Amino acid sequence: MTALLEASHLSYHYPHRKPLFQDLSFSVKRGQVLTLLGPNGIGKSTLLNCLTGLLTPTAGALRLNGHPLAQLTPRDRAKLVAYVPQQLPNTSGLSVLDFVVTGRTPYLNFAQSPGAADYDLARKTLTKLKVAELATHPINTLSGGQLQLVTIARALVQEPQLIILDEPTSALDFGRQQQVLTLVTQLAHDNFAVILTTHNPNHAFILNQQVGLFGTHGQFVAGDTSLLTEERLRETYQTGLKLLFVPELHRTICELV
Amino acid sequence: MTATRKRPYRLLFGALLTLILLMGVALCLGRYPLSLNDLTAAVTSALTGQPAANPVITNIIFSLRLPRVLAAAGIGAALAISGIAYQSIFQNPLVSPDLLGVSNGAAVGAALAILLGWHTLGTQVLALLFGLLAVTLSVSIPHFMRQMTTLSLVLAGIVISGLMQAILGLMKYLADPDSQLQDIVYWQLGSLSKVTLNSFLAVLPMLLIGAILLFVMRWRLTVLSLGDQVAQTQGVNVARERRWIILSATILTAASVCLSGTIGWIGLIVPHMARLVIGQNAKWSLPLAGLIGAIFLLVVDTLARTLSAGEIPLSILTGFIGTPIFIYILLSRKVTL
Repeated sequence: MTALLEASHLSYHYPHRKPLFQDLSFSVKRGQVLTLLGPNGIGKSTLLNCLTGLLTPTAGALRLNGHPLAQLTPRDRAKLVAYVPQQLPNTSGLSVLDFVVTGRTPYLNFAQSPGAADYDLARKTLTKLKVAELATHPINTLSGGQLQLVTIARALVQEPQLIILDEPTSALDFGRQQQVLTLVTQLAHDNFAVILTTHNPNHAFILNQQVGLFGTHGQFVAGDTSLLTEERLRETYQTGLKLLFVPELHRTICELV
Repeated sequence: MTATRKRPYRLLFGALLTLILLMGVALCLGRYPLSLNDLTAAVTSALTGQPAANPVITNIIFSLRLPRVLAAAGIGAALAISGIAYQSIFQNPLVSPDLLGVSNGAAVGAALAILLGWHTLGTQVLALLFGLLAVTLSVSIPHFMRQMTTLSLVLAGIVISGLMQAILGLMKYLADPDSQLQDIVYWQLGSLSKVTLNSFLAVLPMLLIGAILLFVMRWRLTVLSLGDQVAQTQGVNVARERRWIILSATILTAASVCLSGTIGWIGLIVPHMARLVIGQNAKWSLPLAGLIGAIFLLVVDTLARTLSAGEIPLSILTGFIGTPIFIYILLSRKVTL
């Protein structure tokens, strides 16, 4: 199976600054999850912004289904890639249902408004994520976690092939974190490609799929979870930590020491 | 569920009905009060082509009051719709259609025409041109800076508005205080007393084009109100669509202002009133704001020409009526800033 998203030798630097990351390569297939780990400020969000087309990498190539990403129209790109940003709009008083329906915008031309079928899809998706009761609430009254789930619902309504989530668990309590990770696994089962960032290495072990790890100096390695060694994680987070295999969980856990 | 789906249609229909009724009432009110019977008689005779029973009444209704009533409704709707458009694309509920300098620019144009001794038509044309010019300048500054963010647009608008105010100040300073200065000040306070059927018909195409463009793009307004980044990842070409929306809203405001002079408050508060009633989705709030704006200015203009022997400038009345409404909306805590 060919890769859905292929990044080769990407670099990005903001004007008049030194590069955030350089020569970064990875690929994601449909049905795969790529978990990006790295220290604060290393450029994880910038990389995601490059993948969604909000920023253009200063060097390197991004291909989506074999087509250069930069050559896709915003509308075609939005039919393939959905983005759940870290900072969500929470000043708007738009109802949750209307907000979720905005995910149908790539399928509408500039003069069209969403129709009954679009609203039905939005309702179904909210039910699937067990937040149907929020449909009429204004989004500025939601908690961080509710807004996160509702935004994921909007990404699903967009019917993309790739879903990108920037720290989807950062605003969530323990249980909701588990719910999002289960959802991510489910999305991969449903043949979506998923890319997410997280600050918790345990999430990478729980998902147990592809991993991309940033070092402190912007170096980047991608592969499966066997990449996550104590040595590499210590270098990434500049702190003492320990990896333990827990037989009861059938997986490795990462703890600070 | 069907009840909630029908609700927006009911609200819009109710507002439309209110507008039509009030237009009939406004046609009857004035220095020469008419009864509803006079009105229906005049309208039937005009529709059937039979000679009017009372030509004076026909003349008052169709030559004097109708242009004014139509202009009040049209301008009120135009200002309110551009208010919705501006508040959506700037993601800011405190923005009014003046943001990019259209009103101050138009005021400079009008003042220039007054200083040159031109008459009503010249004043309207120059006001229109300078209003469009001011917005063109505001929009091109971020373009040259290569920073097409909303914030840079807002800053450019402040700069250009400031410049236009300075030029206007200079013109007032140079104006003859006994005649020209009064005319400039009066123009800035807004009035529909000089509107004729012809001048209204001249700007009507612009009002229609701007309103239709914004009406068909109203779902885009909802998406853009969530922020540029969100809109972009939904496949909206933000820079291009924002340009079209600014263009449409500017045409609407400039066409209104060149007829009536600057009228404050409508573009700011009517969008809030509409959203309070019907919700944030511009699919519904835009048409409702148009209808409420039409009703609001129709009522205000009718008060302006009936309350006293002289004409009361419109901005004075919109200010006195608008302030308490705006405070009420803020206090009702339905607006999150």
